Amino acid sequence: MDRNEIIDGVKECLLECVRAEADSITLKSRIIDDLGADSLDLLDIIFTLERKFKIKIKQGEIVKMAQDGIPPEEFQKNDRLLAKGAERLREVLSEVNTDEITEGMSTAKIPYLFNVETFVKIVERNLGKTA
Amino acid sequence: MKPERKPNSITITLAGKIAVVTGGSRGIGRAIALKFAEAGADVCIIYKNSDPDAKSVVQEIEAYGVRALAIKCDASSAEQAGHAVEKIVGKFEKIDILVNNVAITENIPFLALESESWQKAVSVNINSFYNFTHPVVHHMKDRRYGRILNIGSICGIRPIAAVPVHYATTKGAVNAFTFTLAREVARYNILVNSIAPGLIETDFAAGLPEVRMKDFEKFCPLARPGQPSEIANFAVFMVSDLNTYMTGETVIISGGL
Repeated sequence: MDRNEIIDGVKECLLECVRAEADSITLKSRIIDDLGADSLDLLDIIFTLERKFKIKIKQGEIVKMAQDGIPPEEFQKNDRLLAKGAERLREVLSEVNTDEITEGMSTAKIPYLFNVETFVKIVERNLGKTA
Repeated sequence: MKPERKPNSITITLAGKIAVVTGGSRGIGRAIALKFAEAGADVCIIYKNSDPDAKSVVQEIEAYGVRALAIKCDASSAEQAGHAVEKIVGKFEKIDILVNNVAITENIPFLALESESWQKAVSVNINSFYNFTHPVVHHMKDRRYGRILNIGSICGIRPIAAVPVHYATTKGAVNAFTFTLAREVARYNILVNSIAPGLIETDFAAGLPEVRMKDFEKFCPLARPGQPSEIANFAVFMVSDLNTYMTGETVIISGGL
């Protein structure tokens, strides 16, 4: 499956789960702020991607990847990102504007960073695992 | 033109459906399991204690010409409930209907209630709802179809004389579970509703002193306890495909209490 097919598949899934027009979905559309997804929609997007691409996506995959390789106490404190945590998150979410990931930001705000490309990358990663 | 009258045109069928009833060997659960079988569903009952009761229900279900299964399981154990769900899907390939019915009560006033009794009521009456509903909802979500019926109690809605606090508390939780879960899973075409029965003639009611029963008959507008079949009749409608637009609701069936 090539990247364009994955992008089209992710967009189809998003259209099933959020109330957005197909034309309004670009790779840089943010899932929550631009496409209006809530927490239930996010879960639904994961389920729909799993069904469509026949993959298994781990809960909290992004944060787990960001935490991988650094001690937990260096990732966040009191639900606020520490410098090292922000740095790792910028690496993992390379599709997100780096200015948006700052030291001190609330970890609860991490899902607000996700855009369409974030999910394309999740699918690519998981397809790679199952291939 | 006059519309044509069709006296038997509205029928309720559960043919082809697979139903699971927790606490299905006795009382309201048993009545629901048998009524579902009568309506054409294959039925699995979950029971904990009485093998003879479970065996008898299985025989009665099979007498309707549908498939039956009885699984011995402690519904308060997430692990056992998960295994039971796996076993049911393994045998029947799907679950269309789940009835969360299992409940226990001990007639102890709050001031005399030990922590152990409180924990036991929560563990069986509330935790069993999670233990069965969680794996079943995941299964239903993938199929984009499901009907969940929770059995609460009128004492979870308004005060009823001499009902134990711990029991009423767990039954109140059933309502919140019902309307909140209904909103979350509506998108998967899973409908979640609840019945809140009044006093029903089960083993629990049989244990009431005669004087209490006489009092009850005085203040219940229909002047009698209900029969388990009167809950089961409505349960069939709620989980059938005649009900396609009601979700998150609790229906009180209590003789007018």
